[in-house]
Amino acid sequence: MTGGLRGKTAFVGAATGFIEGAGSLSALDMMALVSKRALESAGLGIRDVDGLFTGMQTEFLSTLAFGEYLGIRPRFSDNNRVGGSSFLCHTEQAALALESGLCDAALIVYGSNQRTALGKLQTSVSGTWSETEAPFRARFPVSSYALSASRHMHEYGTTPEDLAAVAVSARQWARLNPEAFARDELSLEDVMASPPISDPLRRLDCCLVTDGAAAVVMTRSDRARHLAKPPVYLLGTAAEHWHKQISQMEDLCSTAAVRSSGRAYLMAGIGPTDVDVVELYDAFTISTVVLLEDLGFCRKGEGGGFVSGGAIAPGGSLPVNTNGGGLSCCHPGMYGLFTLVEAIRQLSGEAGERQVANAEIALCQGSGGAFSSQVTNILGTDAAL
Amino acid sequence: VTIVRRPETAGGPFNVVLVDLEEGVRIMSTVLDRAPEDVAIGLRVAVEVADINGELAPAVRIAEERSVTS
Repeated sequence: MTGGLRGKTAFVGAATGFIEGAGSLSALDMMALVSKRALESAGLGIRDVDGLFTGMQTEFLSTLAFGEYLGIRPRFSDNNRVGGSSFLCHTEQAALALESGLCDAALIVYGSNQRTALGKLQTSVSGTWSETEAPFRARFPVSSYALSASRHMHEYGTTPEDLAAVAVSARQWARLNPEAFARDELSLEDVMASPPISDPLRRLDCCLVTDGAAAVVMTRSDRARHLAKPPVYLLGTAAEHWHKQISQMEDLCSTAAVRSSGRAYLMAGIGPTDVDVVELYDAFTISTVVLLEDLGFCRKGEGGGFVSGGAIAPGGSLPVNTNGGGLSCCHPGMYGLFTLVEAIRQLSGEAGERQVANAEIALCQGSGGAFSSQVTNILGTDAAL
Repeated sequence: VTIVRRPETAGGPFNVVLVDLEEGVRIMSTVLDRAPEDVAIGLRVAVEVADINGELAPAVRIAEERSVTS
């Protein structure tokens, strides 16, 4: 039962763009341009799309707005809203829809011009703090993650330097990625010297505010094998959410990624030791520490030591966020889809200087809200199938 | 526990905490009678309704006997 979707669908095209800046383009403009690019790389066109998946910050009826913009009439669409993890849920929905014949070519797309338009994080979250949290005027969303970080330090002895090591590793990867927004050299001392925003998190523990757009295209695997490029298969996918607000998070150091990854591993028929490259949603440095534990790459409480030992940096034992992540590559409001594009590039051998040798299996982890929604996608090459 | 940083001209830094009440719920709150940097996880506190930024909300003070962990 759990293996039902394993390898049935595949990614046949992927693209990103406008990380350097949106210029005068709207979110819809950017989304259309990256969609065209992703479809062309698959040998498909806009007219082939009959399954549409998106969730924008600025359009509540996102799929309607974007379908209209493209001039297409999708017969399956989904505008899931589980925060930045939405796009990894979209792949699960798309796989189900493709497999059952409800659509034949699924386009998953996102874009935002928040940096150019607002100069700060654009969020679609309504009532960022709940009624009972709002009076205390914590900073959204950083204070939520700060509360988790502070608890992780208390429980497990994680240090500010451990967190800083996450930012440094991300930057080392970004320096190998010409598309990354932040490519200047960054030392542990630089991170530690950056001003506190919501203790224990400092400015450089926080993800970037950038523009950017991304798109991926999925089809059934039988069709994928006849398209332009070798397919990257969806081997496992699972989602789970446990809360919305930080004050309702049962254990501030443990997320639903424990469950989503467990079911995704089961579907894919693999375990953490089989994963060659990890792309996870690093909204803050603590995200990487907690998620690596929950995904089974180290034991609960040992994430701090794991990341400060250099394991996730270039040359380490586990390549994590090889594009530079949300911390150094881009964070246009919601980052989830960028984890998929980078995994597809790694598994297609298209990652240039930052290419992980012999990468056959990638794990992508979407995290939405305040560690609220967790979605795991496991991707693999033909060899992994 | 987190210290939310704010310029001195806007009132300076303040603490925001999550408190586990003996009654079994967790609430967001703020410790009224400690400097932000002196608020630590594990303190026992008691809830009192206070005016927080113009709204009545459950704040806490350090307690010897009543309640909880923050």
